[in-house]
Amino acid sequence: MNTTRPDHRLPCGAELGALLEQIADGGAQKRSPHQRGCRYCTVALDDAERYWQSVRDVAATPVEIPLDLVASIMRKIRRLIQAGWITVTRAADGTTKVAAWVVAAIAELAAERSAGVHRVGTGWGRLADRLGEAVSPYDGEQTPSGSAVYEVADQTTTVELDVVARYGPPIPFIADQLRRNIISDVRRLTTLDIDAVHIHVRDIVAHEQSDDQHL
Amino acid sequence: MTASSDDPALVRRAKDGDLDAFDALVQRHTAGVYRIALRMLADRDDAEDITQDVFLQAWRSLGAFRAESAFKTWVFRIAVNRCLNRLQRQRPTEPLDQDIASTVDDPQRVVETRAGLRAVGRALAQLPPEQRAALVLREFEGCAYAEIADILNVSLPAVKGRLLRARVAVIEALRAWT
Repeated sequence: MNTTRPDHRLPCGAELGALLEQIADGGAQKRSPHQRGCRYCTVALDDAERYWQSVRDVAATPVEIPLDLVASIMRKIRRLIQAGWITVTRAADGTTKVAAWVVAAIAELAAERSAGVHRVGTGWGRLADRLGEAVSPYDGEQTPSGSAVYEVADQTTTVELDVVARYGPPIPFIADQLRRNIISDVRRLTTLDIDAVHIHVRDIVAHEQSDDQHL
Repeated sequence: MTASSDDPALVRRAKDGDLDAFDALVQRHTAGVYRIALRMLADRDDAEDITQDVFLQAWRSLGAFRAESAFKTWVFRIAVNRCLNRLQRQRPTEPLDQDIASTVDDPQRVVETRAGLRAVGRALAQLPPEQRAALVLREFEGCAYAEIADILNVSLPAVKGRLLRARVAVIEALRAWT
């Protein structure tokens, strides 16, 4: 069965793809009378069965879900709802409003195209691994929001976001550039002026480094 | 697997602005979305970001959700699309190694299984993203073929074709590595 063609047929006429489907969908025990009598089918099915077991092992392995994930999603949604709507233009023929999260989304897109920003988000999963902890190093309300949040309070409008920086340029330089990009994108798209952009650099990774190998 | 039989009722309440109802939906489906993202992207941080984005987008778009498909199908679709988008912009996926020590007792079996898991991770990483999505939904989330077609927005024969190619490729990869 040493072939990569799914429509390959065994000498007995059985299609390899159909045998694989049988194994993958759990019908390995229910071999047809032909399959029980056919040595080609028996070899192919036993072979597929042996390798497919690894896939079943992976499927049976529980995946650890970050403890704070649900809470952090809901926290973000609550903050977005609280921020509500922002009126961008008001005229006799109608008003134009944008949801606060539109501003947050613009900020995230600006961050994604900013040099020196590896990603938007906390990166705490990797940080926790590095610290050897199974839980977030932040507790309760201090847990960072992850991606951008736009808030209007006390007559000031602010954007807040967590980023992971790229190793290389000075971090204040990266942050200043990101801040300028966010302010100018938000102004261009919505006409809104932002008073402050708070940037939290949560982690740093080398450009070439694969930061995926922590599992 | 969590019961999702009363998802429609929760969705109706969430559409009326009931945050507790949406909270319940998030609790039910976070694990599935996170697992899909983890297996598609092989990166915990990316999976976490995507999971947050998926539910934020779901909340934003709830008004437009017509409930023609199940809520789970809908969020899985958002999740897969987000993963495919991210993969397009990224370098090739590095394989995901999962540790199984906690779930298997026999040391010999641990060694064998660990090698198998690593090989599966590598095999997954080298699949074209569309095939990987079909395989992840089928083998790891236990979705029915028709549900996968709905999530991926392709025909049933297309799902079967992708799964077939993915399974052959995975078996060939495992044969080469184990």
